Amino acid sequence: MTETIRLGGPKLDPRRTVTGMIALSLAFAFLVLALSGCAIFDQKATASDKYADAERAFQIALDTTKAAVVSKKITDVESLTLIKAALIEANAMLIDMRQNLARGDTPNADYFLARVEAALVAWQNAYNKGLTSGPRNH
Amino acid sequence: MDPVTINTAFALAIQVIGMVRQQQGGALTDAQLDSLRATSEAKLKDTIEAIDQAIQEANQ
Repeated sequence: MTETIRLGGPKLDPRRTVTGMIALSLAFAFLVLALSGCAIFDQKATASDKYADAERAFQIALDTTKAAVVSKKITDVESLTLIKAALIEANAMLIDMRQNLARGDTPNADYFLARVEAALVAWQNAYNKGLTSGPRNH
Repeated sequence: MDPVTINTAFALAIQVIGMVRQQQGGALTDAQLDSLRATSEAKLKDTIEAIDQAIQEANQ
């Protein structure tokens, strides 16, 4: 005959042990949910920050262009046409980025940001060209 | 202290931190993003008009 000798501690109640394990599992699941919720929230914050930065950069490009055009710093027709095309392109890319964000597709934010940046680089090239070009079409 | 209690308290603390961060301005709201978009659209319209006018003047 075998006898179990306990050296200390409370006797384990099987019902209490099972309840404890279920509670522990639930608490763990809750913890995982909380952590993943924070991760999703961070991702959304990052994506919306990227979009907001892209919009602000676009607005700077628009203000800069308008100031240069109104003050007649850029009068070259070819450059003006290129600038206009680049700004319209950047605007279209920003609309895409906003729609993507509204869909909640935050992991693709970098792809849409890269498209806006490419359009703004085209704008910058056209703008610089316009500054260095004289009013050849007058 | 019971491990279950510790774990639950920890999870609750993380949730509270998340809620506080949201209140303090984590993700921009849709209204803020829409406002940025509307400003861009208005500025674009003005700039395109200025460009078109400059092109028209240059071609005269």
